[in-house]
Amino acid sequence: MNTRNLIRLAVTLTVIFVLNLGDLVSLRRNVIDFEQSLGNDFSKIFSQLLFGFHRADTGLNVSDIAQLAFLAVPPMFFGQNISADLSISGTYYFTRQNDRTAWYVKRSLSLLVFSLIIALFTCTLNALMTSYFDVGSIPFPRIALVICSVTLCVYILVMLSNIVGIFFGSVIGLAVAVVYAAVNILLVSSPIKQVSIVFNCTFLADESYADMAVKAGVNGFIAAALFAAGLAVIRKRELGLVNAEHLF
Amino acid sequence: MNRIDIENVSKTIRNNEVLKDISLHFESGHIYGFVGRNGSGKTMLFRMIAGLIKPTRGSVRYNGKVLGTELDIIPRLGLVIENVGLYPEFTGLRNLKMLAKINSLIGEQEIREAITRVGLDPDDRRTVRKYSLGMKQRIVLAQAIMERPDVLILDEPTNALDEDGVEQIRDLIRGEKERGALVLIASHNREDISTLCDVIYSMQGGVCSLTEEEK
Repeated sequence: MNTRNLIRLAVTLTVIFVLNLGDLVSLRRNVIDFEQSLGNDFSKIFSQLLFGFHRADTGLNVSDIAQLAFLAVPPMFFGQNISADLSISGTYYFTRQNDRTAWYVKRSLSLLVFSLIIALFTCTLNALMTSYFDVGSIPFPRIALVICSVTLCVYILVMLSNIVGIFFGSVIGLAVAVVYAAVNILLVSSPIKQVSIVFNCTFLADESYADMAVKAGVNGFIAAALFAAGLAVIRKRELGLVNAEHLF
Repeated sequence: MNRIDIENVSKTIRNNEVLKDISLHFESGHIYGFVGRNGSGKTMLFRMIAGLIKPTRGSVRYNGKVLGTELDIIPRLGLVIENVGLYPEFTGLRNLKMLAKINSLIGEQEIREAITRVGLDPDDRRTVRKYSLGMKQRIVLAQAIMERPDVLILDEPTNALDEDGVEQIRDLIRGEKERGALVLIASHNREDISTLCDVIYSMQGGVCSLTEEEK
């Protein structure tokens, strides 16, 4: 982790914190959720505990989409982590780096670690906002599966931004990641919600371990496919033919 | 003795053949010059020799090993490619430190010496974004020479430099040759080519040939 990435991480976490600040201060969400939980199935707010979603089974409402603004934040700050090296000084970088695969794996792993930190931070924030729910009563494996799914969701968006950025520049890369996140939010209430990386981050309190593992597995599969696609791009990329960013 | 052998190389990009059946041989301790108009294929050829792009046909060998299959890139390569820069938000010294860290062949002292050799101040606090065109050219040259490369590929090395700067860089290139480096230069500046190079090639429409005087 270099200083540059630590600063990016600090800014990312700060922005996510600010996005949640209103609710955190007023604990508005507690009250709303408590009222909702009385009228609905209390168990359905389990996902909200860790990810900030309401009614995971019926789709999202406007306030959920506002909460999901945080999905756009990681690609904004980490969406150029891989693409910048290829676009900006890639020519001088890769004439010294004789193993592109090792470089790519290292970069991808560091993005996964950042995604994990962001997921942990976000889930903790949401847990604080729903403090009436006893976090201590949730078995660790269930929490781990939720964290895993959220981490992979963030990782997918960051990797997508990077891979698209290699071809079309960082702005287009970010735009594609944000559009992909929005599409996945809309898919939550569609018949094919199982392929939505956002749906796969929503869990019910009484959801079976098998169902939770399937959700995490689907996100894992998408993340692995994206990783493989990125590796193919990096291996075959001809440097210096097209510069996706404007230099100097 | 290091050697580059280019054998029947062609490169096609979007149905356009930008390099046509080129065969060349280079040895260390010599400077090879390339002249030709914009779009004649000089930069493309240099990128191919550097291992940044792959030939559509033919092969580039470094010391007998085929680039792209047996060897990803030429080890210990110094490169200056036109219109390719460094991270604009960092100082020149920091940019070079980042690049030097990849292989850890040199320390800060050698990086500072390289920056000084090209006529810049290693302690300059300005970011590369604030450099003049000539300074950007010099810092890119410093990154090329700092690790004492075996092969030096310079595309328009004296671009944007004033007269004193041009002479300083020519001396630097001569020094690299004397050190035993294999140097390839492409330049619009005929004087660069004629005063520095041992062998001069002309490129036109992707075809490479010896210049009349060489023949």
